Amino acid sequence: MEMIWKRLVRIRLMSAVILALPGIFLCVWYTSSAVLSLRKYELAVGEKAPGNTEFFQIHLYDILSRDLRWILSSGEPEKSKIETFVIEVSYNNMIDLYGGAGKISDRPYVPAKLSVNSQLKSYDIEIRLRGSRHWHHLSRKKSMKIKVIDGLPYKGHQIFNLINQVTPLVVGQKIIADTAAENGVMVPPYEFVRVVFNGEDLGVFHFQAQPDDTLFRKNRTMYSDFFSGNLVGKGDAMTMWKDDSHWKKVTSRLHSNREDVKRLDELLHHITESSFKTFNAYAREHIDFEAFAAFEAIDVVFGIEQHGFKENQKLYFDPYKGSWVPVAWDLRGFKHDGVINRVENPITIRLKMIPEYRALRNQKVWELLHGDASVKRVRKQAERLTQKLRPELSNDRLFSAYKQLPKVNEFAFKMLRPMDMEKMFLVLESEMMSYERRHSFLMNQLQKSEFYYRLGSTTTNPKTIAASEAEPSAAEMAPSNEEAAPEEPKSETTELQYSTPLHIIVAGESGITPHKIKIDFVDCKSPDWKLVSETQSTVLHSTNHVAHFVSDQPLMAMVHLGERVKGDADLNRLKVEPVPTAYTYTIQSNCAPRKFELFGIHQITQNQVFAKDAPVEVWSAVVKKAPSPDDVLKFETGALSLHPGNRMESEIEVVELGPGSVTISGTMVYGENTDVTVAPGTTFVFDKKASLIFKGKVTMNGTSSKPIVFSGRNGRTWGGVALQGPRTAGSVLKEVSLVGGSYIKDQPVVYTSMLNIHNTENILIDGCTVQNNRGDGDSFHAAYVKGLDVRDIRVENATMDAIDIEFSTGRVTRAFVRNAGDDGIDLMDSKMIVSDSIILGCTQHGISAGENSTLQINDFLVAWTKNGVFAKDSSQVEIDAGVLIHNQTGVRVGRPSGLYGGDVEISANALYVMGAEELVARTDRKKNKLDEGTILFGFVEERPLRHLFADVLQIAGGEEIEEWLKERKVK
Amino acid sequence: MEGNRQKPSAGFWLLCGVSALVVAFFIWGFSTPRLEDVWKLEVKLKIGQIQRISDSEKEMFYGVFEDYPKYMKDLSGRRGIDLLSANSDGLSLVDELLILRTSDASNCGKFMLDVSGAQSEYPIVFTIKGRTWKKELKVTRNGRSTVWLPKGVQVPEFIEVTRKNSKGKSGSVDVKVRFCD
Repeated sequence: MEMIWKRLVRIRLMSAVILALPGIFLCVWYTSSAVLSLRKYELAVGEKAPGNTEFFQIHLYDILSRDLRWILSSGEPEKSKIETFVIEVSYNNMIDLYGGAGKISDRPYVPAKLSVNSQLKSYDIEIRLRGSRHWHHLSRKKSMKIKVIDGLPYKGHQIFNLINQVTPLVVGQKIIADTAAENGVMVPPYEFVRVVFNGEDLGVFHFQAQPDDTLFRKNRTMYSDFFSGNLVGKGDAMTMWKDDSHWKKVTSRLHSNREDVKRLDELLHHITESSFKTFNAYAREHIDFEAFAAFEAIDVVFGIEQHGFKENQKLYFDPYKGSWVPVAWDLRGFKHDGVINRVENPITIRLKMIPEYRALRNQKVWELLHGDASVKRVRKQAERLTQKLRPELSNDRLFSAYKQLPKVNEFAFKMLRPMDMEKMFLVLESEMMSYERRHSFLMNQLQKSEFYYRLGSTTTNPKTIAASEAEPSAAEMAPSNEEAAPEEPKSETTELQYSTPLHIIVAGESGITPHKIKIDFVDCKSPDWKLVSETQSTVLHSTNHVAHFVSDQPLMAMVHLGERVKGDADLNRLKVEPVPTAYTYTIQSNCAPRKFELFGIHQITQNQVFAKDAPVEVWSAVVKKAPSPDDVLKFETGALSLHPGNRMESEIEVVELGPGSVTISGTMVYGENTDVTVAPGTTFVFDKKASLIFKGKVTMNGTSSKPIVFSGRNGRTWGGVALQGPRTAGSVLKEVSLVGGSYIKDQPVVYTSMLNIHNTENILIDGCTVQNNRGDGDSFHAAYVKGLDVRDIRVENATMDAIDIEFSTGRVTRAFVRNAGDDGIDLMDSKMIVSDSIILGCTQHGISAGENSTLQINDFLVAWTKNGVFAKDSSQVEIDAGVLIHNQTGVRVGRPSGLYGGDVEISANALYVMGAEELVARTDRKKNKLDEGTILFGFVEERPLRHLFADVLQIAGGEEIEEWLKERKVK
Repeated sequence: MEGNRQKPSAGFWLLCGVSALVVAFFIWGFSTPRLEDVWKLEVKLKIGQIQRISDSEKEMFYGVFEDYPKYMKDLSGRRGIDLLSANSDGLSLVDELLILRTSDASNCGKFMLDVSGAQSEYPIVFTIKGRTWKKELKVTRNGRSTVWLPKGVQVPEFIEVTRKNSKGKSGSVDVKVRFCD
């Protein structure tokens, strides 16, 4: 020891330099690494670190602790509970791939291989870096976008993202995405996966599927036009909304209309330039209030601020409903800053100016707060997910997050720093606490009852008013007495000489439905009074002290655009908030009122609330002048909505058409407030391309002797007929004949057939004939119909599908189909029973059940088709007593598209297949056989077919079937 | 013996110097950044994991406030005075309260304590300690008590509100803090 010491003391300069070199090297190495890391971060965020060593030391500390953790960590846990994605990219391709880091656009795709531990197969993929924010590309853990280019998509997803999600609450987005999906919001699936990239374990990533075909299918909607809006480059908050240049059409219903952005332009135009009246009418028809309210409720509850004026706008246009639906994307939340919406955008602003939308949004927020987003449930979910991920994250050497420094400046706040378990649980607790505060804030806002009245001075009316004249309409009033037995208003002339102005004021988030008025009069033995609205209609009439309102229309406050204290600059600071709004009435009475009490029902909580005499500050804040319906909203502080009293409740108009000839010369639309009755024996004569669209209830009760006929003038091709929307529910089409039409063009809604039924329920089609359609459309198409009841339909000479049913439930009984250019009956994601039906001569399938359909078919005959019964994509088919004759293949199961998870199941009880080249052909199983039941080849045992032969085909037995077919030859 | 003692070589001094520098570099590098400490303390206070901070921690906060006044403004809110310890809209979730008061609170020379608890808890004596001052507040029944803050003292300051003679269990008395209004 002494020897070493002595030598050390006498060490020569050169030797000392050599001995000191590793230390110097380490210091230089870590110093330069820290400087480089800091510089890279500065470049990525475009900001300089404050001019001291503080941030250099933070970077040095982070690098040192990460390396220490690297040395101590054991790598991937032995039993990983999440899927591992192994990606292999060649060296040259990796250089190209990383060349895209930090670019705003044009990040290149490079070929790669992907294998997933839960699956045996590997995928040929294309991969590119994703995201331009620094956390997506600064660290070794880079966010990626993956495109499966060969073979079946991964769990139905052709394109998906592996995101380096750096929010400190790791499980936050997953909780929000799951809650959103459970509450009817369209949101791509969201999971945690582990990624191994060229042999290096990069730790936990967030898997997020791209909104595409699978998302729409899983949400039981039709694949259609989908737009994504993000402000590219610089511009003010409205830039993105002025035209379509900042929007990308991500998917398109038809490849041919990839460039067509007409619908989007229409929406943007209405948002920015339409008057209140025009926008509100457009929104009520073409914006799905339910879907937007559900999405906004999620944003509100979880305090999300990612869907502002400039980014993350994703909109889907449903082709058969003709309405816009939002797609949820980027769901970072769990923040509270004392406002209901942490960020607004032009759509949510305009929608909240429509009272019924705002009521719906509030109702959804309330339901979430009490249900799926209650503090208890969210906390439990957060704890469960965190525990599940704990082993993964504690072995994730690159686990990092931002917001791990106090908010001294944005530079510090957004800095990516290594994360550990201690910090993760601290953040979890802290975010849960913020969430509790937000939850309690929102509950308070929604529960608040801001219900007031203000009585003016009573004056004496010189006129005498006849009570009989003043009797209110049945729709508006019904006298109701609380204490005394009901007493009818006096029929003789009564003097209501006192007139007292009454203002009912609402100011909060919730609407209030006036429920009851109690008035004490001065020295009045038999009070007689009524409440008259501003438009001079009588709302109430009573001969007692107490009267109940009959209308359950809530009174809502107007809203205006206020400015948030916090938040980003620009219009992202706008907030929509209610302002005290007065509804003016007059109390006309035979005695002078002395004491007044008003009760209402709180629209959200359904509690009875008591109106207070309006204090001066409320009364002085009441909006004095509301905008006119023809005004255009300006997106600026102080802008007001219409007075909700301006909402016109249209009455239902009944139109009777026929009998005789009715000429339709262009496309005629009967609105949703028009019910149409067509008399038996009516013939609609259509000019070329003319069509009829009904949005209200339709009743067509034709008879066999007096059918209702739709045909073209002089046999010319016409358009089609459509029943569109929820107001058509309960419509009936009986003994109706449609001949020679095609489909309806140039409408916001896509109509693919001569007869179209969309987005409605309980529709009866009975004894109808659809023949000789033209063009490349179907004959009869139903989409989004609940309770479709089709009886005795006859479809002949269809150019494409004879009967095409999508996303619907119901039954088809006694259908007769002859000659179809595609399928006889084609189902997509529907649940149907088909019975007693005959299908003859189809180019493709007799009956096709695709895309997750459930089909029960019994007592049927299918002849002369390519495939008698066809099924694919996790559809379930149950066959009972059917004959498949002279088809190329009896039963065929198609190749799965990979968009649906489950298997096809086909079972049969008494299925007879004759004259087929193949009995059963399956591409999804090794053996060509049914899952349950067997096939019979001849009519040795006819008992199961008794009903089919006797009642449907009306033959004595199987031996007559060929003769029966001969008489019904097909083309 | 004397003759055996040799003067350390220049190489030795170089080695000592470099070693000291390397050790110092790594000690400095591995020392938790003060901003991280401040962040952790802020979060721990917010969630109630800690209720008070030591004098040295307070000094660390004051140092950060001096370097980053925006952070101080953020913490002290629009009134320049706010509760930092765990609370729900001012209702304290912990027994000891920690308030931050800054120069922006010059118009707000007081805060109010709404106290409620069982009668057996009373009288309650609160010790209120600022950066350079200390006072006591005796509360004898449920209701609102006003704490007047001394003027002309050094700010920013942390104000600790603790119960001197806590008879009951933790959380047996509810305290809601209101500022200015």
